[in-house]
Amino acid sequence: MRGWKLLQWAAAFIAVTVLLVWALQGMHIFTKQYRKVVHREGDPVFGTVRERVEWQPDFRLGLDIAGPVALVAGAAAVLGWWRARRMLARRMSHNHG
Amino acid sequence: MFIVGVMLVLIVSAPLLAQTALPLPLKGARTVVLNNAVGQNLCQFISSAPLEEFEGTADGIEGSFVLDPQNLEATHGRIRVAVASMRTGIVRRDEHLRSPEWLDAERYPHIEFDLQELRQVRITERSAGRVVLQAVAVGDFFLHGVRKRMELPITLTYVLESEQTRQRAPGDLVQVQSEFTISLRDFNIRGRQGVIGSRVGESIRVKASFYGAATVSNKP
Repeated sequence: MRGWKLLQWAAAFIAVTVLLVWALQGMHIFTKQYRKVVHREGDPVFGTVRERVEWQPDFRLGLDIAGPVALVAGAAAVLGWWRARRMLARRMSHNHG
Repeated sequence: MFIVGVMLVLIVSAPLLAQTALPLPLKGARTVVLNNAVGQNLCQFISSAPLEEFEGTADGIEGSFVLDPQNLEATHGRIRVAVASMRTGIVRRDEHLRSPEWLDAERYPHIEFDLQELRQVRITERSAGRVVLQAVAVGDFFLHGVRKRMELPITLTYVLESEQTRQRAPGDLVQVQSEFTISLRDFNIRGRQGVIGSRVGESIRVKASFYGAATVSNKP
């Protein structure tokens, strides 16, 4: 029973953490790997503002990863809870019997 | 009656015959070749939809155009953007963008603008060695296998060669900036069912900056 209890809490912790990270990182549908950075500077030749754009690595968890992970972890938590409850009920009925 | 007829023909044809000259001491046509040493050639695009807004860039840009300083309206050339160079910050979305459902990069590896003429040329600024003009670039826009006539507003800055410009590239330097909108439906881009209009905008806003160096042209 202890094993199932452990699975229940560990899986619930993973599901909640993953969803929390996803929410805090902007609730993107797809996982972002890069961030657009725009450098603006005056251009003395053309008399305009020159923009230079680059993509820098920046991981943002998306629902494409967070969703399945949370779903599997959630299902494992429910399974752990159900099995632990069943074992407890069996043990109690055994003790009463 | 004859005189009235001649006058009418002149009035109607006057705008067609109008030639705008670049107010700089230049003789002969110039070929402007896009060059990243002059400035970053870049197209930025923005998609706004109710469920998602995203930005992207494309920097695989090449092309050239011929500019006649005595007749700016006759400017012509071609600019190509490699679909493979389009990035949105999400690798998976970039793959979708290039897939057959969207831009189909394998069949149509380039987005092109075939510039045929400039219209409504207006010199807006002139200083020593530098001229800024606004115009409407008329040409064929080729995207996803569909060719469509488009009129794009542009701002062109022409700078005569100097000690300062030579630090970037030899020759006169040119910058062209444009902002316009592309309707995905016009170019037969349908995407996955239900995505356009919800997660991808029906129209994409494009902001383009092109930089090049000009040399005396051998082409007419």
